Amino acid sequence: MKKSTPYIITLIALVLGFGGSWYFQSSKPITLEAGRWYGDQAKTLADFELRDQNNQPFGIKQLKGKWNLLYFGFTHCPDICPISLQAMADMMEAIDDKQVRDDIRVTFVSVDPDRDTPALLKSYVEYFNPSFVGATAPLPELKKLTTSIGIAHKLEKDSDDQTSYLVTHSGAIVLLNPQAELSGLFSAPHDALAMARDMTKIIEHN
Amino acid sequence: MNRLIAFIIFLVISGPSVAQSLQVTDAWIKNLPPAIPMRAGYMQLMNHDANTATIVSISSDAFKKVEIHNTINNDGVMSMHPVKSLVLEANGMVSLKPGSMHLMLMKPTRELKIGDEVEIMLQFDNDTSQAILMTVKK
Repeated sequence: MKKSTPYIITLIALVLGFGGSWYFQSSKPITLEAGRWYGDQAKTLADFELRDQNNQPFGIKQLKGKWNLLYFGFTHCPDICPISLQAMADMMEAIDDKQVRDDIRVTFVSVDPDRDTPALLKSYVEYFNPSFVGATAPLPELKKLTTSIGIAHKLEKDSDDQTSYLVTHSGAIVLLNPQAELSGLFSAPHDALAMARDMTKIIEHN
Repeated sequence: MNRLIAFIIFLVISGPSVAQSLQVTDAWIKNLPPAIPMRAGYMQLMNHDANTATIVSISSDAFKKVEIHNTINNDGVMSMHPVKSLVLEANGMVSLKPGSMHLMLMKPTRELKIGDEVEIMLQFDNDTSQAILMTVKK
């Protein structure tokens, strides 16, 4: 046996060891406290283009590169939307690791584009956290995204007053991975601390 | 002395129409940016009286309109529904809380900020009313 053989065997063993450990770690299912993790079943979304609170394009391209939490609501919603956005703001505050916080993008998608102008969205989302994004689009464009994710929403314009209508909408927070694929779901009611632990686990694991 | 007796008689006669005996605790309004025309209000209501108390309307100088709404979670889809009257059984309690029954406070008449106190008037079905204070919170 050549002198170098034991070194080569050790090197191969190390490569197999690290590779195997990486493989098994990355394919290991994650159990979330506050939501569901789709793992290998992550779904590619249909293409869409919204406008953000600065009137800039907001689509698949802008969602890539970070873990995304999307909430679908409307600014005239007094109860469930503010408490859901507050839960996500509290979640961000509860995450100690700055690297993890920086890897999360929270987006409020308005399903009420007629009333939710970019200016209104800007004052609304940035009230909760200056890093939060607000985005919307006319309903046909918006539905490309909501249909692709499976988010229900409906304008309740059956009253006489066409300016003070309510909007029925999903209460879920949707998780997209840095490839902008649907990767998980947090159902209402939202627990900020449990979500903080879940997001930390997801980001550290991946 | 006569004046005092007259005053006591006045209190006894007018007492029931001045206020109900609802105990209101933890009454607060979720703060939002001034540009947003809606707020939600929450509180705990306890009726210590032996009779049912029914709130039929709510008003406030700080808002153009106030309604009671209920958020319904129907298999993950949230919808809001106006509540026409709020019934508090004798010695009963009702919680207005996030994600559930709440006050829908529409179109503030002045800018509100965290720490402000807002007076809200509860109107009952027996033509009596009760003023309560709600605090604007984060």
